[in-house]
Parts: sequence; structure tokens; C-alpha cells
Amino acid sequence: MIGFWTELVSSLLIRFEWAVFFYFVLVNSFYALLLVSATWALRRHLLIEQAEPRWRILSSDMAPSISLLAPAYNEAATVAESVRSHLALYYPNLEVVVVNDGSKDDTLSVLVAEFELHPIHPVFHRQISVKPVRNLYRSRIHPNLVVVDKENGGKADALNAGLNFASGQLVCAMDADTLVEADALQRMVRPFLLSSVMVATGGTIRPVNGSLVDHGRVVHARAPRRMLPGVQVVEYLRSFLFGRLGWNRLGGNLIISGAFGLFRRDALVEGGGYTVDTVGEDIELVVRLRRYGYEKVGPHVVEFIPDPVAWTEVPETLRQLGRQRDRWHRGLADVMWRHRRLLFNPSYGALGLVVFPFFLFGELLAPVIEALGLVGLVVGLSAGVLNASFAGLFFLVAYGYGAILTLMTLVLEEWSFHRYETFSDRFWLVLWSLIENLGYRQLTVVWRLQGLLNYLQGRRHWGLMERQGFQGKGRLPLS
Amino acid sequence: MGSIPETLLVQVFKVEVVALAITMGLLFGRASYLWWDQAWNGPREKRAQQILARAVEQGRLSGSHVQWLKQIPERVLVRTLTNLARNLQGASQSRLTVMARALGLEERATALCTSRRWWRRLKGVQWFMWLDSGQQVVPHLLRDPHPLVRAQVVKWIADHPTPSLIVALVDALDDPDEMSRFAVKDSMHRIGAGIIAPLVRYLTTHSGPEVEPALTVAAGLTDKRLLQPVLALSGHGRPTVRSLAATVLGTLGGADSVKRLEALLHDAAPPVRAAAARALGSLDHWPSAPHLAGLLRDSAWEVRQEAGRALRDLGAPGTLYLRRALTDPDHFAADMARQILNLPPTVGGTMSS
Repeated sequence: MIGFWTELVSSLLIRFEWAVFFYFVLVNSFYALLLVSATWALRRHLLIEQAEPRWRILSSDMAPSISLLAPAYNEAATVAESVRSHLALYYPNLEVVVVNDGSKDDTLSVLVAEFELHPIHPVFHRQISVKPVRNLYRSRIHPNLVVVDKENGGKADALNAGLNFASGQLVCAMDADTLVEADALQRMVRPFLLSSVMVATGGTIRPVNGSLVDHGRVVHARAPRRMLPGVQVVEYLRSFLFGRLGWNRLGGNLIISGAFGLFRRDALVEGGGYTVDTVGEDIELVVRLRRYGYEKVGPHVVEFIPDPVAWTEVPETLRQLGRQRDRWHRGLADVMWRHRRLLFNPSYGALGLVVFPFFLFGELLAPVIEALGLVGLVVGLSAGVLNASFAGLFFLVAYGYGAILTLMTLVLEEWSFHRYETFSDRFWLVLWSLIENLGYRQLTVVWRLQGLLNYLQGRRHWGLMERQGFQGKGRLPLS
Repeated sequence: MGSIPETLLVQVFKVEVVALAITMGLLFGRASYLWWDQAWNGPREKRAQQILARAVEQGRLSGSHVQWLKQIPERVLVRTLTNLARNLQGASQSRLTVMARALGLEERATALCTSRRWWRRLKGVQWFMWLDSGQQVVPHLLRDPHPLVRAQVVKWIADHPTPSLIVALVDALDDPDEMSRFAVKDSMHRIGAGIIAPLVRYLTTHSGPEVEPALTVAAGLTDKRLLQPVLALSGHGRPTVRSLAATVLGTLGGADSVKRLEALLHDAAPPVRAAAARALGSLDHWPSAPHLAGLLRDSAWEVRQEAGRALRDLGAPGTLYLRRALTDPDHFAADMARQILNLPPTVGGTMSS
């Protein structure tokens, strides 16, 4: 009898081992496909961008107007600098709408003082229901800057309040603590000039930690010397330069980062704006826009543009990072559930047949499978079904593949935008790439599992992020 | 079913080690190349800048300098010339073009324009942009199969407008590619008055949706010659065409424009009514105030908004109607008037729109 159960357990463990192996091969083959797609897309993008005079958009009467929406909650430390960087963006017809979402700190006072705000009662169409707006302000020194002061309702509610007020043909959603490069909007607007079915574009987000910032501009990008922000730099590079760029040609993107995205305003309003009762409002919005585009035969293409860059501060403590990853995974789970009718539905083309299934099995459920794989490995070792050398080899293979994908992303970065200019920065990035899978990635599995569990238990909170503020200290390195 | 063979994993791992080595090689190889390129070509680029700047100032480039410049990598030379060209105009620009010709770059640009690869043709046209030449080569690419090349040619035409090229440019308004159409509209705006005659001909001879980009351009050009074709198009079957026509009439003015705009205030489509209201406001035609005041009660928000703004723009007569509207029994009219007058919610109507 005991022999029967032992046989059964061994057989199940082996089958499970094969299943995990096939999952590993499948998902990583898809990552390889994404890498090839990203390389091709990047090459094409660089060919088009070579010496193209973007100054024509800057001085063109034909350029579409843009309203930049920047929700702010307890951002007193960074809001003035980031708003100045928004106002200094090179774009001909730009309106900046900062939404103070009931901050408990001095965010509004800082804005009033720094930008000489005065109250106004303008005409705007309240097309989307939001929490009560207390006051509206316009700057005396920057007439294109408007501040909406409202009761706290969360980021999505703040964006919707900004959307009600915005007058631009396109709206750019941006976090108030994000530093955007001066010509980013000119780059982001280009796909809308190329295609009337474009509904949203997104740019690259890069961690600013460790870089040199001067007057709201990143003047020197540096790889962080601390591990936690360092591994996040390579993680973000992989996610944007390889993941999202690769999706452009494989069915389109499912995510535009909430920190930096450009949308058609009428499509956003028709779609009902941002959903307020989810922590994944950025991904939910994009999925909904794409879905409505298919259903109503309207604009539905979402494209990622690799070269407009926005810099943001990433968490530097495990606690902060854990909360963030928990929230991201809860958001993903919520969106997958809300839009589950897309799954394998041919009416939605590549979105339903390729993109959505990948995000479900390759992203949402990945931590479950990885955790089960690890558990299976430990049980298998204990039961003697698997031996230590096999376990070690499997780990090396998985580790090696992950390291190669990340290093290939660094190669793409080096051969294209080349933002990290010194040899020492490159060495640090390589080091973080190699270290990432030795503990950090496993931690993210735990946090994502936690997020999934929290979602299943109905938890909807955002959590707090403590800001250090952008620092201008440090000297430029000599090489 | 047996376990996964270890030999398979060993083979995979070996491949990964090789791939890792190649990746590191690509990464640091590229980094080293960039460092070497800067170290080797940096001083050359600097010297090239000095030579060319002095040559532009003096109006001549010596034979020895030509020989030396021909020896440096083409991309370094082109980069130096491009950076210099951005800061030059007029006679200086012409001198630079002559020097670039002496250095063989015009020939090279011509060769690029005849390439089978679209990105090379694009590069060739871009070179001709900063060389400020290419009159014999570039216009032939106006109907290039690739939209980005066509868009670049259109930008070149904006800098080198001749009567025949302007006609060709206007005809390119029906380009199927949106980026090309954007470039055409932008270039037409930059050319300005020289575009009017062909634009009038285009508006008179076309009647489908292809008139829309033409009307968008016309809205930025205030010329009476546009009046008759635009008046004709203001009765078009498509609301977008009528809206655009209303916008153009708002820039042209005159009795005929006003009469037509007042008629369009009663159009069936809200965007047309809104455009007509906006146009009347921009014309400062105060006798239209009563008609605009009536639109404060329109069912469409954007029409009410444009009517309110137009009344505000009319000055005292318009403000009078707005103040009367504060006590209008129609709550929407009263609320719009309040907002236009920038009054707080406690004044006049309290219904939110």
C-alpha cells in the first residue's frame, strides 16, 4: 500500500515537473519571440527617427492640442519641480492640468505660492462623475497651467476630474512626481499623426534613482549603486524596451503606464474615463479602450514608443516595493476578471486570441506556477524523486535564460538610446542583471502571490509611497 | 513517463553560456566601439567644424582641406555639416551647399534617393533638406511608394516652393497616408499666400471628403479668393465639411460670410452650429448677438459653450445678452451664462451642465 502511494506521488511529481518544464519552455519561447519582435521594431523605429526634424511639429499649426493631466496626492516634496518640468515641455499647444486630490500635506499651498494661482470659475463639461471639486485655479505667470482642487477620490477619480476640465484633442496622463524629457510629447504624438485608429501611446519609464537631476531635467543617467533600485532599473528596461516594444507587432499592448501615456480625449470620455474602483486603472483603461474599439469599430490601436522617456522614483525599501508589486498584481487580476470575455474570443482579433491569454497565463498566473514549481522541486528532492544535480541544473538553466533576456535588453539599449554612458554604469547594470534572479525575482513572486490572495480577499487599498524628492547632488563622472 | 533527462538540461545550459558570452561581447563591444569612436573621431569632428566654419566665413575651401575632409568618415562629415547648416541662412547656407558639393555629398545624396531601400531614399531627401538643394532629384519622389519618403519630400517642397511644385503639393492632399497628409497641410501653411490659387482650384474641383484637409489649411489663410468655393462647400452633405467651411468663413468675413454663418446656426448637426457660433464670435459681428443668445438654449453642450464664448467675444452687446441669460428660465442657458461670465456657482442658475 505504501509502495502504491509512493509510486503515485513520484509519478505525479514527474508529470508535474514536465508540466512546469513545458510551461517554462512555452513562456520563455514567447519571451524570445517578443525579443525578436522588439529588435525588429526598434530597428525600424531608429530608421524612421534618424535626423527627423521634430521642430516642425513644435512650430506647426496642425499639431493636435494636448492637455497634460497630473494627479497629485501628498506630493509637496516634488510637485513644484515636476510641474515646472511639465510646463517646460517642448510642445506648441499644451495645457497642464494638475489635480490636487485632497492632499493632506502642503501640496496645494506649494502650488499656489510657486505658480501664483488665482481662483477661476471656467466653463467645463462635467461628462464624468467625480468627487466634488472644491476650487479651480489658474496661474498668473503660466496661463496654460490650471489646478483642480478636489476631495480625495483616488488617482482614477482625479484623472477623471482633469479629463472633465481638459480642452485638448489628446490627453496625457502623467504622475505629478514624474520627470518627462523635454521633447517627449513631440515623439509621443507622432503615431496619432500616422493613424486615425490610434487610441493611445505610451513611452518608456525609467527609474531616476541615482541619476543627476537639475531643474527638473535628468542631465546624467546613472545606474544606481544600491541593489534594490538597481535591479528595478534593469527590470523596467526589460519590461519597456523588450516587453512592450515587442508587443507592438504581436497584437498590441495591453498596458500604458499610468505615469506616462497619451490618449485620444474623445475616445477616453466616450469610454467613461478611468474606472475608480480598481487599483489597476491604467491597464483597465487600455483594455477597455481596445475592447470598445473592436466593438464599435473605432480607434483601437495602442502603441508603445521607445524613445520618449519619463523618469520616476522607484521604491528603495522592500516594504514600499512589496506594496507596489502587490498593488500591481491586484490590478492585473481585477482587469483580467472584468474583461474575461476577451479570453480566446476571435471577435477581438489578436487581443483576444494572443495578448489576453498571454497576460493571463504568462503574467497573472505565473507566480502561482513558479511557486508550485518551487514547492514541487523541494518535495521532489525530499521524496528522492528528483536529485540535487537535476535541481541545480534546472535552476541554472532558468537563471541563465532570464539573465540572457535581461542582458539582451541592455544590448538593445546600448545599440539604440545609449543613455548610460560610462563603463562603470554598464558594469553596474550587468551586475544587477545577474543578481536579479538570485532572490529579488523570488521575492516578487511572493509579493505577486500576496497580491493575488489580497485580490481574492477583496482588498482595494493603494498603500503609501514615501518620496525622497529629486536630488541634484553628485558630480558628473569623468568617464 | 520518465524524468526530464539531465543531458538535455546540460546541452541547454551550454548553449546559454555561449549566448551569454555573445551578449556580453555585443554589449561591451558596442560600448568600446563608442568610446573608441569618440576618442578617434572626436578631435576630427572638432577640426572639421573649425575648417568648415572658417570656410563659410571666408567663402572658400582650400584643396588640402577638401582632401582632408574627404578622408574622415562620412557620418562624421555629415553630422558636422548638418549641425552647421542648422545655424546658417541665406548666403552662408549657399556657400555651405557649394562646399558640400565639392565634398561629393550632393552626388551621394542623389545616389541615396535612387536606392531601392526606403530608408536610404528618406536619408537622401533629408540630406537635400540641409544641403538646401536637390531640385532635380527630390520632386520625383513626391509619389514614392513609402509614406515617410513622401512626407519628407513634402517638407522639402515647403522650403523650395515653385509654382509647379505647389500645384503638385496641393494635389497631394488626397494622399492615403495620414502622416503624408499632415506633412502636406503643414507645408501648405508654411508656404502661405503662394498656395491660394491652387487651393481654390482644388476646392472648386473636388467634392468628396478629400476637401476636408484643404479646408483645414484654408482656415489658416485669410484670402478673399477662397470665399466662393467655401460658400459652395458650406452646403455640403457631410457635417464635417460644413463645420470646416464655417470655420473658414469665420476668418474671411464679409456680408456673404455672415449671412451664411447665421443660417448655419440652425444646422441640423451640433458641430456645425458650434463652428458657426465660434466663427461669428471671431468676426466681432455684434448684430449676430440675438441669434447667438438663442443658442444658449441649444440641446448640445458644445453649441451652448461656443455661443456663450462668442457672446463674450462680442464685447458689450454680447455681455448684455449673457447677463440677461443669468435669469433665463432655461437652467442650462443660465448656467452657461454664469460660467462664461466667470461667476461663482451662487450667482444666477445653479444647474450643472
